[in-house]
Amino acid sequence: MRFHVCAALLMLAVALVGSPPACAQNNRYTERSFVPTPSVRAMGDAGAALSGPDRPFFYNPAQLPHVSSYFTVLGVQAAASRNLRDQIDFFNRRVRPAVEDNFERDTEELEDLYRDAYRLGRDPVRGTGAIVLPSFVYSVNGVGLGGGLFAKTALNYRMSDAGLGVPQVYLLSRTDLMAVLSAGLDLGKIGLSGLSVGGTAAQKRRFLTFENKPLDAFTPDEAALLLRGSAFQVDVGALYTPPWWALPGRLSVGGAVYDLLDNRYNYTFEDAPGIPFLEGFAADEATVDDETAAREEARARRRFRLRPTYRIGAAYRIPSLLAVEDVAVAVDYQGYGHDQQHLLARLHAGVRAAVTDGLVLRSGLSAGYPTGGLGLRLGAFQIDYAVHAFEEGRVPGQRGTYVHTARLMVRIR
Amino acid sequence: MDNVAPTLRVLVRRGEGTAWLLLLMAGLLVGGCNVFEGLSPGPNNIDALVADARTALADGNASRAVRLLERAYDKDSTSVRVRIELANALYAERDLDLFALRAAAEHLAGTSESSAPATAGKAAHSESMCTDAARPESDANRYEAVPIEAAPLRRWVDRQSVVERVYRLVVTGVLERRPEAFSGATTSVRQKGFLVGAITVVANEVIGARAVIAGTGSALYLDRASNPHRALVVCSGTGDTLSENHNALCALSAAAQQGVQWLQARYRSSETDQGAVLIDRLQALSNAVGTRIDCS
Repeated sequence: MRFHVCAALLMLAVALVGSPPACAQNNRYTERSFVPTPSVRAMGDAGAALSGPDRPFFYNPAQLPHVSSYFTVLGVQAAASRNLRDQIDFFNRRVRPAVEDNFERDTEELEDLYRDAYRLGRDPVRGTGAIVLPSFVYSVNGVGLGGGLFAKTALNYRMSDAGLGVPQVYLLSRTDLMAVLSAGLDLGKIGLSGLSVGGTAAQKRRFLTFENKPLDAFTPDEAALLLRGSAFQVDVGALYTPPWWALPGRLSVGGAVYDLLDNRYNYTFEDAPGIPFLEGFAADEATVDDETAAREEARARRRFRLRPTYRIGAAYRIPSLLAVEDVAVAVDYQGYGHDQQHLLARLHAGVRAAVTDGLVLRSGLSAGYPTGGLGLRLGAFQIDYAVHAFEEGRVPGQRGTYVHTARLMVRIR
Repeated sequence: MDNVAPTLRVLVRRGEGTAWLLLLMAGLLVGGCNVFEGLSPGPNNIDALVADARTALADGNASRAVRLLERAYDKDSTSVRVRIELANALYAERDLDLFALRAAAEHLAGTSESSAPATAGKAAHSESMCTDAARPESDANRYEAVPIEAAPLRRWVDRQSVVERVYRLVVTGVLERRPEAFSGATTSVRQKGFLVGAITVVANEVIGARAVIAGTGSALYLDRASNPHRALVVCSGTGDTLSENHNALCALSAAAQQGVQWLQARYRSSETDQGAVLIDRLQALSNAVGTRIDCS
């Protein structure tokens, strides 16, 4: 029996290794289209092996047979780093007027502007808005099915060093529309007790705008190109809960590989419509020559290439622990796309416990940064909050960014 | 396994531990700590050294950035990226940046809007010889002395050794001698390289021109009435020293033109609408030299 399970996991590992060169799922910089879940983020962003609602679609489809059926009517989610408001205010109040005046300022004033821009902008800014349109999970007799529509728009902004006191402006806006269909199967019925597998197929459309240039290279008529791409992708996952586990509680190990197909966003400039938050910043199609459009399309395809990513993890769950119930501990190894990032910066761990009926507290470590949050269920309404950190440096503690995420969801169980 | 099970059961029963853990996490969260900090090994390859150096620079710790990049340079002195990053860090450590050169260019070309007309400066003797047969001593209203000991120039002169090293690292070591390797670098490295090169080539000649003027006991003036640009003239005691000054200023003008070219290459544009920060100043400096001094 154990041999069969190990063989199945080995096959998954072989599939992972045999796929195109995979980089680990990268919180810092992933091209994957997905809607992160506050319940996972609050637990240090660990949850590949811990079953729960919201997770099968974007974390591990093999969880589907272990999730109770539900129907999500609608959900809205917003996330922002602490410095988002300061940055937007600074940009509108000081940077934009200077760019519009083509930096016609005296040296001292300009030096102050650059210094302040760099000081403020070196802490990365993240802002995300997401809408969960109707989605469902139907799970019965070891078979799970799920599907839904999702939309997300995200903004990343930071300043790095372009040399000699000049800030390098990095601005990335991505809006994703996703139609997702997932299926999971408990293989216990065919003799592989404790093992379940799953897959997700998703049709994705992305609208992308980005700038990465020194501040002094911005011109008064600066406008970024809005590019559009679409891709059909497949994720696969596995989850194993050892039936021979003799200790209290339940141990699970699992993982998933995302975006397996060699099917990348083929970004094009033509016919890209306007999107929220970028009115007035995206270039008008009539003002962009073919050469510029071709260059930006090639750059986007090269820089924002969709590549396979993965998560692996373990979870331990016990029904009750003194005054609290449904206690779980989870650990994930996500890896990051940053080649130099240390192992510890890729490690995520968390704990959660139901304090009372409907109230769940969560805490964790994301690359060493403490995280926390809670979930509150009031009838069909589910509210989740998380404060979570990303490490953008090479090793933990170098350059962390805290992000607050809140979600309101109407869900029928 | 039999020994582990009872131990785990005991731990599970001690539920207070979970509560304390949550409290500890909350405390760390409020404190903004990273519990893994210090556990990771230090940088030991070039990529890691450069990455950590960039982080140190972003944190305002230029000295650490220089130390890390010196180690990277020891490992591979041919790396274009390492040379440019080291040059940038060396300037940051000595508080030299784009604005320091802009201030120097404005001082020399008289384009600073905030600076008051200079009254100090070495006056030309009546028997001095001046470029373009100018007579600054006879028309004080038209000619403004340009003090060569002023702060915008001293800032560079006092850091001459850094400029010389960066010149070797980037201007001769990369831009002049290894253009193929430079063109193969990433866009951000190339942009930084062009900027460092432009600043350095001009700063080097600013230091050189100032040294010649000071060393020959000459005086520098700005002709405010010159059209279409304000013009620099230099006056010196003899024909030989005047020729020396003439050559030094022409070298400065050529360096300013080179700087403009590299900055335009950095923008990948020859358009003038991206020039307000530095290109315009360097162009004004070159024009100020070339208006009344024949560098052909």
